[in-house]
Amino acid sequence: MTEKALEFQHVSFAWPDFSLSDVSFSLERGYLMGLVGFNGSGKSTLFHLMENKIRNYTGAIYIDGYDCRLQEPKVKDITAFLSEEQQFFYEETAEGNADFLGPYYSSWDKETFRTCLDRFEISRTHKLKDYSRGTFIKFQLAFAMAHHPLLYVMDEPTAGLDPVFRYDFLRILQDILEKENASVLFSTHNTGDLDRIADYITMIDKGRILFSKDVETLSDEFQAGLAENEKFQIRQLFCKGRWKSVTAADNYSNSFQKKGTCAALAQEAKL
Amino acid sequence: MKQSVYLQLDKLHRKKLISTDIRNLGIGIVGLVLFSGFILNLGLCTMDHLPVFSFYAVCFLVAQSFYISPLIMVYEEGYVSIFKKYKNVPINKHLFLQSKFILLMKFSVLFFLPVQLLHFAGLTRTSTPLISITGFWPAFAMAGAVFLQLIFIRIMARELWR
Repeated sequence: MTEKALEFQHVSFAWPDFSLSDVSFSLERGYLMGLVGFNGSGKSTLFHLMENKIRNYTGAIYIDGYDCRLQEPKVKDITAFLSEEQQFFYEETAEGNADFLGPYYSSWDKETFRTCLDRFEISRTHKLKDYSRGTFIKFQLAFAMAHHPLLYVMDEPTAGLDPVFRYDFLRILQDILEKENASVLFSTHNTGDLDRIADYITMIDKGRILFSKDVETLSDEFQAGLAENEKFQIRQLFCKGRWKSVTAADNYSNSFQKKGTCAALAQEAKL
Repeated sequence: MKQSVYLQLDKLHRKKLISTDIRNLGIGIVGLVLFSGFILNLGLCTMDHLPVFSFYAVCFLVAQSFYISPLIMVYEEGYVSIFKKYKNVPINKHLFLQSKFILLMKFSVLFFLPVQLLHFAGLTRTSTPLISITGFWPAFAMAGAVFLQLIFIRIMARELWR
């Protein structure tokens, strides 16, 4: 067991119309990292690499010290992938899915699964195909929690969810971090979510990591004023095409103090 | 996880699927059709005629399909490969696939034995010797059907590596 729950080491990958170049970052155990970036920036591709849907990349990805490509069963045993694309038996109930898929996990605990179903108020009698998007995400979370993973990988779990459920979802994530010492990597477009719970923020654009920093460092940098180049990159990222020149560095710190770092970034984009 | 555990889980999986009962009924019907064919050919003394071999081959293929399909396909607005569902589950892909092969072989041999005995019994009413190619038609039909099923399973299992 290593201290790093997730480590990307110089990962590069190229398609004809998209490439990831030299992606390196890591996440320690017990922390939550928010992955932000535009649509098509490479967030989901990073998740696909972790899932081994794409294998022909250079570099290496380690989850708790295990190589994603070479030790796939072990990696999948300690990782929970949550996304709309995840495959389950849609014609079966939640319990049916647990019976079919659960026993393959070394730490599978059906009692925890049932407890989570009750806690998240998920119907046991309905088939998965009848679940709403929110309920499906909650089901995935319940399933994930029942096999006690060390790393939760979530691809835009809160997208399109109502604010009440989003709040609830983030509270559950906080519980996971506190009680299970697990780590969470989740991508989102909602900067408010990150302000509330993220310990680290990684920003990706056009397959390139712009920065991967803890929230405190990021806040300090905003308050002190970013390096001109970095400011430019962030402005470009958020404004994308409709960027307007903003020179007042005070805007950063003022908006940060009011709305938090990530909200400040978004605010910046609107200027 | 050992091979035996995968086999156990596959058996449980098959039992739990709602549609399994219908497929088991299908296996029963194939058995009845085979028996009817045997009675007919016994009466006509035509157990050594070539259509009997084709009849066996089709029956084996259908019965094996009924047996193995719950383990390799699932119905969701059309049939989809079950292997898709296990992509992010910590399985040893080779053992997972192997357990399906083993179950298929086990079923095929159990299904073949009574057919072979009946075939031998039917051949006694003809001039064809028991120890001949014709005598082992059920075995050849079973082997051919297994071979086709294995190819089909391999094709469906590509989802695991995608």
